[in-house]
Amino acid sequence: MKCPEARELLIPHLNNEITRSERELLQSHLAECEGCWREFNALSSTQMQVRRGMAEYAATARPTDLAWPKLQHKLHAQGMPARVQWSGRRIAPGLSTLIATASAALLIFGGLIAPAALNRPSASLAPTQTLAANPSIHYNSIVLADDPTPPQTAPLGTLFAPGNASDNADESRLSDIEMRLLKNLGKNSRASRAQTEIIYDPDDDGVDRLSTIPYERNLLRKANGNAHVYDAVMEINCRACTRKE
Amino acid sequence: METDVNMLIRRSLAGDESAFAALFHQYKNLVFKTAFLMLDNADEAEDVLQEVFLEVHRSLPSYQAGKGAFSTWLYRITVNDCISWQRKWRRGWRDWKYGLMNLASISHPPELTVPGHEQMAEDLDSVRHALSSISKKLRAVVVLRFYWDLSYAEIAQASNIPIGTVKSRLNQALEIMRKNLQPTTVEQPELDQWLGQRPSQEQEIKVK
Repeated sequence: MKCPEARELLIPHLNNEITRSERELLQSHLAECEGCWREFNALSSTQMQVRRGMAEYAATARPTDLAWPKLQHKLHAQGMPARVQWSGRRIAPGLSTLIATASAALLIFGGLIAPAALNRPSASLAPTQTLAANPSIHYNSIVLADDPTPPQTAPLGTLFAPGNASDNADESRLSDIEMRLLKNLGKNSRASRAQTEIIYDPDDDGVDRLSTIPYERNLLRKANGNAHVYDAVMEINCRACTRKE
Repeated sequence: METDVNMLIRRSLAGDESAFAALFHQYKNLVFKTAFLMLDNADEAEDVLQEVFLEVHRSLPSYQAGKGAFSTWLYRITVNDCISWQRKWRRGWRDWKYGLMNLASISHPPELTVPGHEQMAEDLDSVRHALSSISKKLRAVVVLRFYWDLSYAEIAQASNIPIGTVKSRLNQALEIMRKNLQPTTVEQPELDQWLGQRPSQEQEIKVK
């Protein structure tokens, strides 16, 4: 066996992923080639270091206790029972395309045309509305004990509907980044996480902060009609709840 | 084990939420730790955990037990989610918001108080640095092989790549990490035990 061939087999050998005959040939080569043996030593040492390091690093990593309640809430918001009862029955491809097209048309209409035509803020949700209005309410009752009705999804355009003086006044206090994030919320569910970053500061008492800082309260109010933002708000509430406990 | 899982899947599909909860609790660590090692961040790993199980819930009707283990399917969803995870703008925002000092305290694990903790912490930092030096695709293969001990064939299935690609990615990853790792602190006797003794010339003759 030549060196280049042997080097190709070093890592598979370390991982027991070579055949018996390959192993025998490689071991013979390693016995006589100092360079390949050193290389083998170095690679095995690296591999062991990586194995150990990852084992130590991930040893104590665990998801938080809120992981399931949060997921459960999202599943309920997405209508889990209805979806699961569907039980794998397939829709004919043509029909699914039709449904997708109709949904897209509905979304476009809801997101662009309807807000401009109606020019009015979206309906508010009880939990966050109560939160802003009455900060003394214990968060447990809002988030965990309640099984809130899935939020009504409002088009993002309504968050910045023209003609609402208070909206515009508070909007001027938002940074560029915040504005961008808010505008992206409808496009990307992960942006809702960013929303959490904006309004939740781990160094503060979440309860006071949510109820007293005007522009954040305004964000919450704007969030009322948007399902993605609503997720983020729920997450904040969950964290606030944990902090309380 | 897999039979239990299939039963939980069937019950979940029939609308049993407690069965889906059981699936979640059985596999949450698998998903979380994979994401944690891939993204090097617990908050983001928790976000990925949510995304993955939402995806599992959406796609459960299309899961076919005959095509592979449920865990392999989960690895695939997790790895794909981590690879497509966008984090830079979030990190940028966090840097700005909490300041570099605060970020430094979040990024580094608290000092350990056991004897030899400095060396341990150094080793850990060194491995984290080495992991961060490789691309997410390479990291996925490294995590699946060296943390979860999956075989090349399982990694190929979980990553949806040929076995040859698994091999080349592992080779590439180890080469890069080797350059970024500090000299090993592994004791030589332990290394010998791991490797087996180098075959002597006499043994070699016997083999021939």
